[in-house]
Amino acid sequence: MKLLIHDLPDELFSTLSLPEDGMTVIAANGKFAPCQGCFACWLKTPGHCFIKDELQHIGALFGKSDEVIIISENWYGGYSAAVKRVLDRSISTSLPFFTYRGGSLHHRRRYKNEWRLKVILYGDFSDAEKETAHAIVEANRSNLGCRSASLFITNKPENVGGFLQ
Amino acid sequence: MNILILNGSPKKRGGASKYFSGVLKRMLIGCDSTEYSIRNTQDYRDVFKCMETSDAIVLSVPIYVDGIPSHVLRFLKEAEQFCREHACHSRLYVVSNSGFIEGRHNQPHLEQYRCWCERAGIVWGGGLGIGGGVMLNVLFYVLLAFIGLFLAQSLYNIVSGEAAINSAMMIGFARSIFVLLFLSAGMLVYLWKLSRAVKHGKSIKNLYTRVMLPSFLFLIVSDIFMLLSALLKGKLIFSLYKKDS
Repeated sequence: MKLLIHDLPDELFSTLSLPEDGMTVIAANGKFAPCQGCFACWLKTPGHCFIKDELQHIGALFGKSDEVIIISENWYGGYSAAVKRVLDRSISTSLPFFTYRGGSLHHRRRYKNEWRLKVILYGDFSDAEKETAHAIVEANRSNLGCRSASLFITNKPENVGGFLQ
Repeated sequence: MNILILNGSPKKRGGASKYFSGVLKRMLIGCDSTEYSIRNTQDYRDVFKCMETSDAIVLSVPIYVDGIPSHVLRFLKEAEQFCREHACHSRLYVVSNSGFIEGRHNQPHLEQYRCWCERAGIVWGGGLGIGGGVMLNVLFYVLLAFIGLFLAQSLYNIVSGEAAINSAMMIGFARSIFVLLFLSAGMLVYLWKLSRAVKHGKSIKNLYTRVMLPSFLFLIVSDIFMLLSALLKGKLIFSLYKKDS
């Protein structure tokens, strides 16, 4: 399964030719509730968020995917608030317990799927933001425990489709 | 010197971020500091008003999935526009805390605030990345518990007709306080360094520190802490591994 998280306007997203059927798409439109930092998804309702909205089971979607694609506007060398809201709510994909991964401590993974992360950032970039974006995606790879991660940067959101194939 | 302290935690009580900003505030002796939470958008107007007149802004914030939490991003986007339109001249300092023990884990997160400064026309003052933030916050409550127990024991001794404090009690208490202070030493020293930079209006290179515990011990203690926290919420260990459908 592939999971696509994006913050593109509907009219632009509808012009994209998605690589295959069966892709789960989450349109990060800023309407979802932000993470409360309560750790309920680890300790009280293990595996899912206590907030009953479309993102309640987002952790399991990460756990079922072999590829997660994130399309986001560049905000300070990282994701937009709308996309980051989806990622912040996804920590139930890991366990509250720690382990060593890549020489440093990270949370143990709840699911054992092998998956790739593809990040496409669009918008205006300074050199510092490009550098930071690479550092963020690499940190995501190590932290989320995915097999590989790649970052594509483009100034024009219309060019995003070219990176999907 | 006017200093605006912002708490970036989404928690009502402020969590570890509130603890670190509180410690820093106490180190800024002689400065006029104002503190706000940026949890709610209703508070933005008051915060922005304060930003105009502040010499320094200190943001204490947790790291979420390696970067800026979404509610803080929302605040920064509006603050960026405000700063550009009102020519704010403050210097931004950031205290970033992570649940992982390595202070360096905060580096990309801190770099994002440097990028924000470029866009907002604000001077980047530097950041402090703290590893094991939750544990350091918990240690503070342990310290309060030790003090409470010490006072309770003294009171009990008085009621029993004995000397309020004896040498064995003093040694035990001093040893506990020493251990707790040692574990928090990196955080205290680096917050002090940051407070000097804030007070003197200087920019510094990013600093990184952590709870003063070997990582393998941190792993064991944290896992036990998580287990006990889950038990308090009525969950046993095996239920924590549940896979969601």
